[in-house]
Amino acid sequence: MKIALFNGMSPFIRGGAEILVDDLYDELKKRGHSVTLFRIPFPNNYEMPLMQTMLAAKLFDFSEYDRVIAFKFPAFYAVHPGKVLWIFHQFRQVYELYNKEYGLSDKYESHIALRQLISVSDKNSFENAKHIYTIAAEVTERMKKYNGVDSVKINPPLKDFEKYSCKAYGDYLFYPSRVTDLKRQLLLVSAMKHTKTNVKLVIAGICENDKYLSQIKSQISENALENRVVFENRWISEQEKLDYLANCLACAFIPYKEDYGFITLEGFYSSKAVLTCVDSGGPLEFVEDGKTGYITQPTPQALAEAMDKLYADRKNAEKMGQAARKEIIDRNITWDETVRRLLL
Amino acid sequence: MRILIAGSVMSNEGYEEERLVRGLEKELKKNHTTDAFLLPFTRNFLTLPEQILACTLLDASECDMLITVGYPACMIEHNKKVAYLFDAAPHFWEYWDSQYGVLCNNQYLNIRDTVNKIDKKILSKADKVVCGSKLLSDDINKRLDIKTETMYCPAFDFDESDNENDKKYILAESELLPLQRPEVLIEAAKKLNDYKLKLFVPNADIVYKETFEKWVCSEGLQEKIKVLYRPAGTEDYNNASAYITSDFEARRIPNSLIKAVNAEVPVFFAQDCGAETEILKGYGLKIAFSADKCENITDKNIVYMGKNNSGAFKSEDISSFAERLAEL
Repeated sequence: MKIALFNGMSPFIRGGAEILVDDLYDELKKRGHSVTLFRIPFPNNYEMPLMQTMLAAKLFDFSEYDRVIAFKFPAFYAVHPGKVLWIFHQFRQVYELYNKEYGLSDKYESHIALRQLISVSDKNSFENAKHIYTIAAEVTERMKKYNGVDSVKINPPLKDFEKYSCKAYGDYLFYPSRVTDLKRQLLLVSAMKHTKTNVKLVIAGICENDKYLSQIKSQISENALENRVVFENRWISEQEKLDYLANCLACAFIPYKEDYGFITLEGFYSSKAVLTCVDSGGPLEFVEDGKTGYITQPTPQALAEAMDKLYADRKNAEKMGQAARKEIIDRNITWDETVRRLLL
Repeated sequence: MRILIAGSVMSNEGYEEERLVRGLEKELKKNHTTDAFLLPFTRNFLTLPEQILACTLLDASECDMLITVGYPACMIEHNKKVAYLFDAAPHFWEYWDSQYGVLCNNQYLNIRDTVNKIDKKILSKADKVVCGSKLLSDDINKRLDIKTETMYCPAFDFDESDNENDKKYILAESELLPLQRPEVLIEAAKKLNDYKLKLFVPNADIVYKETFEKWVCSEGLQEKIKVLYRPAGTEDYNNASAYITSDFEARRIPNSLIKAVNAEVPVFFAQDCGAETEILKGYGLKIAFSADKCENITDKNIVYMGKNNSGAFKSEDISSFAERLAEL
C-alpha cells in the first residue's frame, strides 16, 4: 500500500509525538508498504499564520496515495478519501486549555474568532475521515466533550521495549521530558523542599523557555536543593535515559492533562512505579494509586508526601514497580495490532 | 544558525528531492541547528495552483535560513532563502502542448499564466536560485528573468542488492512515465543479443507498471528484460556492462546517470534526452542513439565503447555541496 503519513511539526523540537510517527514509519516499511512522512511547520503566531497553515493542510494533494494517516492539528485537515486519523491532540489552546493559564482566552476578540474557526474546521475534518483513532482515552474524551465526535483509542506501543530493564531501586525519582509549563517540572522541584526524607530528583530534558528555566534554577538555589536535585537541561542520550530508568527509585510524570506520555510506559517496562497527579491525563490510564504508583493532588505538599513514601518504604516501591511491569506486559500493546487497525 | 530544509516529493517520480533533503539535513547538522520536512506534490495540472498556494501559506519564520529542495517547496517564503530545483512543473513548460505535457487550451493557458506569475513573484525574492542542470538554469533565467546558478547534485547510494551474479546487462532506471519513453527501452532490449536489460523501477504508478509488464510479455521479452522494483544499488552499477537513458528533453539529471558516470559505466543516451548530456561532456564511454531507431544500441558497441575518460564529470560530495548551498 502507498501510504502518506502527515503530521504537524514544531521546527527544531523533537518529542514523543515525533518519535512515535518515526516508529510507525519504520513499522509500516518493515511490513512492505511504501511510506513517506510529510510534515508542515506549526507557526508560533496563533493568528494569521495559524489560519494560513490550516488552509495549507487542506490544499496539499494526496491523490496518488492509497492511505493518508494524519496525527496532529492541522495535519488532520488533509483531504483524502482514505484518510485515517490517529490523533495525538487537537489545538488544545482552544479546547481544554481555553481561558486557562496555558490557553487562548476570551479577552481577545481574535482568540474568540480563532476558537470558533478551529472548532468548526476540526468537526468538518473529522466528518471526512474513514476512521478516527486517538492515542489515549484522554484525547477520546476531549473529542467527545468538545466536538461531539466518537473516536477509538489505540495506545501507541513503545519501540524496543525489551531494552528497558531494572538494575536497582536507587534514591532518586526520574522525570525525563521536555521542560515546559505544561510538564510542570517546577511543581516537582517545589515539592522537594517539603520532603522530609533524603529523596532525590533527576530532571532531564531541554528547557527552551528562559523564564521557566530561571524559575526552576531559582527554586533549586533558594531552597539549597543543589545536592538533591539534578537538572540535566539537555537532550540526554538514549543510553543515559535507559541507565537513569534502570537505577531510579521511581519515575515522576506530572504533566497537566497530557494526551498519552511514553514516560509512563518507559517507567513500567523498567519495573518502576510512576508518580503522577489527578489532572495529568494520559498516565492515569495506566497508573493505579497504591498499586503501580501514586496519584496525588498537583500540590507541592501532596507530591512531597508521595515521594517520601516511596523513599521510606523501598520494598513497597519495588513491589509497585514489579506490578507496573506485569501490568504493561499484560496489556499487550503491540505494533502488529496497531498497524492492522490503522490500515483497516 | 538555525536552518530549515523543505522538500517537495512526488510519489511516482524521482527520489532525488527526498535523498537530497536527508543528505543536506545530515551534513548541515554537523555545524548548525537543522531540521527538515517533506511536502507532498502531485503532477495534477488542475490542482497545481492549489499546491503552490499551500506552500506559500506555510510559515517558516522559525529559522534563520530556509533551503528548499524541489518544486513547489521553493514557494515557501523566507527572508533568507536558497531554492534548489531539479525541474519546475515541466508539463507546463518544456512539454507544453506535446504528447508528454499539457495541451494548449484556454483553461491550461490560464493556469500556466498564473503559475508563471507566482513563480516570478516568489522566486525573484529568493537569495539564490540554484538549478540541478544548466538547461533548467537557462530556462528559468529566460522565463522569469532571475539570476540562477547551476550546481550538479551529488550522487546518492543505495545499498539494495539481490546478491545475483548477473554480469552481462544494460542498466536502466525509470518510473515508466511516458516522458521517459519506456518504448525505447523495449526497442533497445530487442537489439541486444548477449545482454539483458535490467530495469530498476524505484516508484511506479500501478497503471504504468501493469501496462509495461503486459507489453514486455506481448513482445516475448520476459527473458530479455528483468524488472526490479527498487532503485539500483551500488553493486548493480559496478556490475553493469552499460547504462541507458531514454528520457525526452529532461531538465532533471537523474541520480542513476550520475551514479553510472561515477562508476565509469558506458552510457547509451538518446540524442534528445536533454540536460543529461551536460554531464556526459568529456565522458569517453558514451554513444548517442536516436529514440525512434535505437540504431547504435548493439552488443558490439558495448564492448568497443571508448575508454578515454580524461576530463569526465565527477559528482561533488554531499558535504561540500551542502556547505556551498548554505553559503550566503
